[in-house]
Amino acid sequence: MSRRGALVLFWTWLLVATAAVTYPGVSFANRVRPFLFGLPYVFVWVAFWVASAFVVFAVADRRLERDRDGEAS
Amino acid sequence: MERWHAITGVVVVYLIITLLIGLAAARRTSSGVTGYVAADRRFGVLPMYFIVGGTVFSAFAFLGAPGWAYSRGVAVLYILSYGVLGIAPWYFAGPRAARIGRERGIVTQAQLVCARFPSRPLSALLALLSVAAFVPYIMLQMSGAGIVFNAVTQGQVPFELGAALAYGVVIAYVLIGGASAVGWTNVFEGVTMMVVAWGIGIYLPMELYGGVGPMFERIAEARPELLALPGLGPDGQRWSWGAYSSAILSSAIGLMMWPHLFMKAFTARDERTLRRTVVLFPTFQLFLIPLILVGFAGVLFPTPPPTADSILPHMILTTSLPAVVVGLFCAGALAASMSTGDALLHGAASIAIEDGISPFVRLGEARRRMLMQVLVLTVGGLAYWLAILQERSLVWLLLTAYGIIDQLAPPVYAALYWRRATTAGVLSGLVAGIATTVFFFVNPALRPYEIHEGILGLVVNLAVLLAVSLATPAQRVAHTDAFTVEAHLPAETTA
Repeated sequence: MSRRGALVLFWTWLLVATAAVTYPGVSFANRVRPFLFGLPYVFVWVAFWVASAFVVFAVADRRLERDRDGEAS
Repeated sequence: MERWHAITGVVVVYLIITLLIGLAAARRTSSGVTGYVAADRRFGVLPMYFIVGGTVFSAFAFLGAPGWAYSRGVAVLYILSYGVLGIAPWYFAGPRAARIGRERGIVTQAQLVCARFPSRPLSALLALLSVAAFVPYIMLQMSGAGIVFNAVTQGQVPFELGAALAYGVVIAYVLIGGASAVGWTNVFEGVTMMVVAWGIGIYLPMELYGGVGPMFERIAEARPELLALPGLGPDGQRWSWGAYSSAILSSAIGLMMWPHLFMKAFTARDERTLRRTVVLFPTFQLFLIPLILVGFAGVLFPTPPPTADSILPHMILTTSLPAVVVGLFCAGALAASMSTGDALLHGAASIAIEDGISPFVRLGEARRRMLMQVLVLTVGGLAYWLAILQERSLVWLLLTAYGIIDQLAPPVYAALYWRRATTAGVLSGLVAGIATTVFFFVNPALRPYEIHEGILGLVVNLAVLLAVSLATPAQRVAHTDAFTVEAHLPAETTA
């Protein structure tokens, strides 16, 4: 992934996640069943987007950090 | 020994440990203003993680999130949604603010904005807004501490004494140790609140329903309206999508604009530390999940709590838990309250002096630090006095505060990213945005689609900022580039 790719990933995630947890995005996931891990579907949907933040931030950060190390040396 | 003695004993031990950590941290900082306000810019990832997490999540999250789940169902998911959206832009803006802060000796948000847009009225306005938004917020934290203490000891420790005990400790360590004490105590408080939240969040559904799945099965059968977004409004009727979505947006935009949180950027050791803090933040955020589960566990609880917000202490007390566990719960709730309250007290004092007084009166370092300490005592005392006078009906103040805090986003982002922005544009946008927010707060019926007044204020704020900036002469390029252009060599090295 390029530096540009990491930035695109980061900002695309932010846009998609914002759309996914607000209206109308979230209304498509607005179901109780099926239960996942004992939780209603919509609950897991929102929790998934929170957890995905960690993965996306970590991946993008790793890539961007490599660039910064390059610049500094 | 009576039960409440054991509970109080556990809480007192927790308070003593917190105080000792605060006092130990105090010995490690310099005696200047940067030491007191920004802990000499020395925090690494571990303290930053708990400082940001502990400061974001207050007594309001600890008691309010279960309260929302209990009374308003999945509407509570808004609280879970906004945190990661709010912190994301901080991955870029935080390190940039920190770099400029280091270069220019900046320790507050208003100093950063006013370094780019030099204006004493702007500085004073930002200071005034911050302190005005902080006082009700601190009162709410103190009330939270008093209520929890009072509830778990079944009234044996009165509200006033509980709040005084917890905040006596907070004021002592903020007074003596400043940002350093706030930071290191937040590590302990953050761990405490997380462990307690996860423990109770898993234990209560197990104990009452035999698991999280069976609990939701029963709620889906008995109260299906609680499990369909956007959940219920404050009146118990279905909430509107406009209100739900704009609550998320308004909170996400406002999150890192809270001046006491923003200024944490200046306490980090380097830019790398700040970025890692952002990356790790979502893991802290997940601690809301057990708290939400606790609220849902209350839905079919046989006896209703006195108020929705007291569902958590209510259940803790009516399911026969050992006294030590109840004491730990109380410590967790106090930790949530104190790790936010300390940053607010410290922020209010620092901002009032650095942004409200310093631009107008010349004061030496020692004098400023001393004045900050006097203000910690004054603000703490004032908030305590007000909290005792009337502990409720404050929530509305805090909710307006969020709308007002949103209005700080355009000045901050313009300072860091928009070359063409001018002082006149920022100042007039801010004033127009605040006026709009207050107008729609006072006349909620006029809001289109029940959209949050902070978002409506932002629209006006941005429009005025754009129009006035473009109509006034641009700033010198040499001046703007120092803020809006990324440094070629990252200033990662520490002296």
